[in-house]
Amino acid sequence: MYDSENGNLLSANSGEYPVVDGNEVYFSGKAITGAKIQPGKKAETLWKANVSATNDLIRAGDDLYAADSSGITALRLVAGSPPVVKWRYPLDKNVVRLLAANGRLIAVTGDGAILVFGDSPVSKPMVFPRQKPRILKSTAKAGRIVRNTGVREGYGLLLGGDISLIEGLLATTSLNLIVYDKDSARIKSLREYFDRAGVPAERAGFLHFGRELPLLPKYFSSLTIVSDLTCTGSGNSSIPEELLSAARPYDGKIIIMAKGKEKEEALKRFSSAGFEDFTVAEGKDYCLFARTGPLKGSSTWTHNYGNIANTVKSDDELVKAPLGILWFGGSSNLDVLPRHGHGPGEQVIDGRLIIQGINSLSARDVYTGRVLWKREFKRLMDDSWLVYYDESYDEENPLDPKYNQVHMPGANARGTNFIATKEYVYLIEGNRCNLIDIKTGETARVFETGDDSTKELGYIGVYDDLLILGNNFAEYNGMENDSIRLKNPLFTDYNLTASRELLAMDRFTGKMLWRMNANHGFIHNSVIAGDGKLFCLDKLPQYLETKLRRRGDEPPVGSRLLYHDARTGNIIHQETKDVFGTWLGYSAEHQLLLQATRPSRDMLNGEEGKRMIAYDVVTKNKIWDKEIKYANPPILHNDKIYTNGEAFHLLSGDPLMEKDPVTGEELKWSFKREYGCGIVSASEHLLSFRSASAGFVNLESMEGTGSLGGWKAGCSTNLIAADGVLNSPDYTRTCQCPYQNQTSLALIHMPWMAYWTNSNYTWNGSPVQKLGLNFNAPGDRVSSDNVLWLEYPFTAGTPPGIPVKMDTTGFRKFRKEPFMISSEETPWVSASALEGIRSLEVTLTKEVTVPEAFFTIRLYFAEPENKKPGERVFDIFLQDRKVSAGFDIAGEAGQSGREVIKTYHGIPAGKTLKLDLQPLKGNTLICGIEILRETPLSTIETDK
Amino acid sequence: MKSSGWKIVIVAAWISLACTTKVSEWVLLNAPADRYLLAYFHQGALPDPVIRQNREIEAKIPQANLLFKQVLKKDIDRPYYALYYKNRLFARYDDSRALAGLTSSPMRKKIAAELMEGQLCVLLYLTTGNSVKDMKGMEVIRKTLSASPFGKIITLVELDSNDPEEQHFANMLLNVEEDLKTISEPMLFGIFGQFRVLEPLLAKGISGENIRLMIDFFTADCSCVIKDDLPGISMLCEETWKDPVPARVNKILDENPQLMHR
Repeated sequence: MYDSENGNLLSANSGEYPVVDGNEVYFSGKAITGAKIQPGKKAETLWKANVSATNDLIRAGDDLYAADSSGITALRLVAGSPPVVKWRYPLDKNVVRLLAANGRLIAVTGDGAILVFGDSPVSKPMVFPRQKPRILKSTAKAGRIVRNTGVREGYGLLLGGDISLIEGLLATTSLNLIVYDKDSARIKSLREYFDRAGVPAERAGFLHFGRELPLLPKYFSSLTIVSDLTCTGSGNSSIPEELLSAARPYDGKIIIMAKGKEKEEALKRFSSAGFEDFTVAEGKDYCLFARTGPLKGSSTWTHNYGNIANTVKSDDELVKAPLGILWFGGSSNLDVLPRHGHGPGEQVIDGRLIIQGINSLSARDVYTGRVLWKREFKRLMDDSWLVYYDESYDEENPLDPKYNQVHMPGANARGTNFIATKEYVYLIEGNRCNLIDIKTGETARVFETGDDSTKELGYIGVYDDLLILGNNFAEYNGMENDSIRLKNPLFTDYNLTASRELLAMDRFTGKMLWRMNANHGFIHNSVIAGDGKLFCLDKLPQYLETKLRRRGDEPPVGSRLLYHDARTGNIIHQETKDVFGTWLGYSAEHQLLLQATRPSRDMLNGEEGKRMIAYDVVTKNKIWDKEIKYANPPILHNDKIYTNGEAFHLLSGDPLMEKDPVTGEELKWSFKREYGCGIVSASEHLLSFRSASAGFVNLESMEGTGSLGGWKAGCSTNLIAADGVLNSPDYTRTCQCPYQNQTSLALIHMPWMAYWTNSNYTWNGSPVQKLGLNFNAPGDRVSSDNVLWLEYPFTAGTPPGIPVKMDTTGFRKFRKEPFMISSEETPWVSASALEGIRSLEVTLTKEVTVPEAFFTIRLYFAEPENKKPGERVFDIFLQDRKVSAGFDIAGEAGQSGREVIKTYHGIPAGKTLKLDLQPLKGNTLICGIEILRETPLSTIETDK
Repeated sequence: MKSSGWKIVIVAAWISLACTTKVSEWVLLNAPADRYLLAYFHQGALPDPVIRQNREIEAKIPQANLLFKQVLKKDIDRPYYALYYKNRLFARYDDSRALAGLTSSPMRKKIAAELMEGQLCVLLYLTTGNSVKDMKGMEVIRKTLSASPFGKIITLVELDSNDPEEQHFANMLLNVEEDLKTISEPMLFGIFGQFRVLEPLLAKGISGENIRLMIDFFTADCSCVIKDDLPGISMLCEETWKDPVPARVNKILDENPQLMHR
């Protein structure tokens, strides 16, 4: 429970999900607790009612309604006493949500039934059973389209309500159809027809549109059928672009039913829309646009760290801030491993997201969340036992939000056990490797080593047409008696971290190409490949080496860093000195091999990040060897290394520096991350990670940490940018944290979306060069000309330490959404405002001796209320000099919600800058102030 | 929601664990010592003198991080006391007289006092009685500490592993790793927080480099990685750890920001 005035924590663990009613709060859970917020803001428990409200609790009128898996209870609230049970309705259905409206209580059950309760019982409630769908008929029209396009599943978008086509598609495919038509009567009639036919709403939705098609989600449609060309508008309508944009990458198709001139016209309009990734085909009475291949600028994410080079980075260029939701919902979160077990992360390729469950693999459509296939595997549960989950996971109650599965290293230590490629998912099961057809989920082949001594396969990786496998885990004898192992068994089991032997096969035929034995063990997090080479570390786990060093003992002979020819397995080079760590990463761009450890939360003991070495793989020389502290697998991002909060130059190991956005001085690049497990991963433009909720850092701009609020990124790393989408399959099963939404979702770049960051900026007192104060903004932001705009008042996070004094009369705060403001570049400044400021003084430096300098000051205004010209007028003073007389926001803007920027050059200031606003009519109002130090002297005053 | 004078947001708490507190300070303030278990194993009904003596033992316990239990175990020849840390048996005592000094001793009091005074850590040099080996190690330690910018806020103490007054303490130290009792070499233990002891440096491992690495650990920013899996083990002692003096390392780092590291 927090004080919303100042964010102070008032009480931790006040209760379960609350219903708030003024000063009174009713906490749900196994019993209902009533509390009152007293002066001093403490919650005092008033009563406890032994009624279960584990599923939902609402208040309507004077009653509380509670739902759990056994039924519904209504309680009458009694002032000064515990509530009294009015009635109880037992149910064998699981009520998941209650609503009250229009004198009715509505209960929604988990299987989709809706129960409606009135004010008195009825002897025979009316039942509206789900209709059994009547058998729909296939039609010639639909049959031809399916034959010509080959599409039978996914989402279908129809322009034109052709009933025979719709019925045929519903009968012969599993498409979920969205039908648009301009004729509202036809839409109504189609809804009623198919509703009577028992077609559920998720199979077919019917929507009317007027002149322009509503904005369609991108990438969702597997099959778009234009059966009525009038629905595409004419000439310069943007509907063709909408439809092309909505087509699913890799295999989305648009078929336009038209002949002759109409077909030619359609071909011309769609072809000239500027989309390069479509092929075009024609038939007598149709033309077909097929979207092939990936989105330009998108990239994959495979293996456990993005690729077999361990860059922890996707090359995806499309995912960037601001982001907006493409879809949410999708699959059940039962099909993932327990979140604290840190199972292998999802892999994304060719529009498919492959993810592992306790005994399953499933493939989901990246662009819609649709489950494409799910397969169960007999041995997978056994393989995952004590690796990705253990006895602390309650298999009987996988949804129970008790602390279900303790933290364990999981794939952080063992690595992944599957690899997704264009053709197959290679999945280890015991001592064999299954090749799962990635399109269907069916097992195409099974590879074995042909070696009777193979008990289990350890490492797995794919490089070009090579399948690299680890034959048997390396075991470290004596560890079982090591005191650290006894103290912390989960985090000191090194026996799954390395393989005794590596072997390479042709990944299509299974032909064995080469094998190599380890002296100690090939550490899985170090087996990587690039530019025709396979690299790996053959050594003891870092903990054991550290223990030897502590005792002054030399590590055993045979530790080595190896470079192999990937095709032949021949050793090209080996390093036997400075063979430390457990991690290798390869930069193909710079032909640089990075040696490090793999530190993170929930990782084996001994993996602290303290050192990195970079090698030139061509010359084999060490480029640099530095003591660097880090707490994330090192991310290789072009010419930089990113870790958990810091960055370094790849070619030198030097810390990455940036300019202080306010003072211009050099400082170390850094970012702040709030609470959360899981590692930081990267794409071309973003770092993404759990930061309490889902968080990101925009690498294009130094504006701090952005928060994608409203849901929780997984405890196991699941926020992955690939295929043009920021993927977030729900990995929060059994989590108790009360984030607003628990769902799988995907986000894409939406330039019109607002976003805010927490800059975590701390001012060092040096003279301000440039600064923006964004009044009443919900966060920080950097403008396109690299001015850091800080929210003011400073409410979220640690204040930046810039002294600002403010005097006000009739103080009010305003905040709107930026899209409501008419502004070319800065609607997010003028969307919020403070009313009533009389005087504002900003400290510009803490230095003692300060020569006066000249500044350009820009003041931002937008009228948030429906004020007419003349209703809000005030004088503006800077440094006690009147710079604008009788300023009228509405008068100058011409309308409310339109931005006006007043610019004043040559304003002299030393230690402080003072702004005074003197009202002449109504109250003063201002949205933002931008302070820019000038070099040249200027006395010209202009209005922007 | 009705308008109310209180603007209170009720959400579940989440706590940022981002941290610039140094490891040594964070552990002192936030990581309570692990509790030991002293078990009295007996075969049946207890005679009154034993009951009384166990009550006395139990009465002293609240001052220390120790739990006492009487456990019925029929397959033993005679009753005995056993000291456990987590699941590991640290020592066995045939009678209660052997428990004297279990939870406190002069050296432990001194060390606790140093930690409460804001020292970064205490380095405890456990000697063997072999003066050549012992002096060699001590030379390295002294040289390293005198060259370290943190040398003045590190207390160095020496303990003879055969000191009878410190026998319990020495026994616990030699149980930090399972094979230390078999090794006849001087050992250097880093002690920090609420009497947490790191795995020791020993023999040639008592080197300038290793000591500096240990100091680095104590002076680093604390992190979730360290909090999740705190190295070392706790020692038994009677200190309450309430209101320690602010850590002295912060002053050194404020004056020498180039020494800051993660």
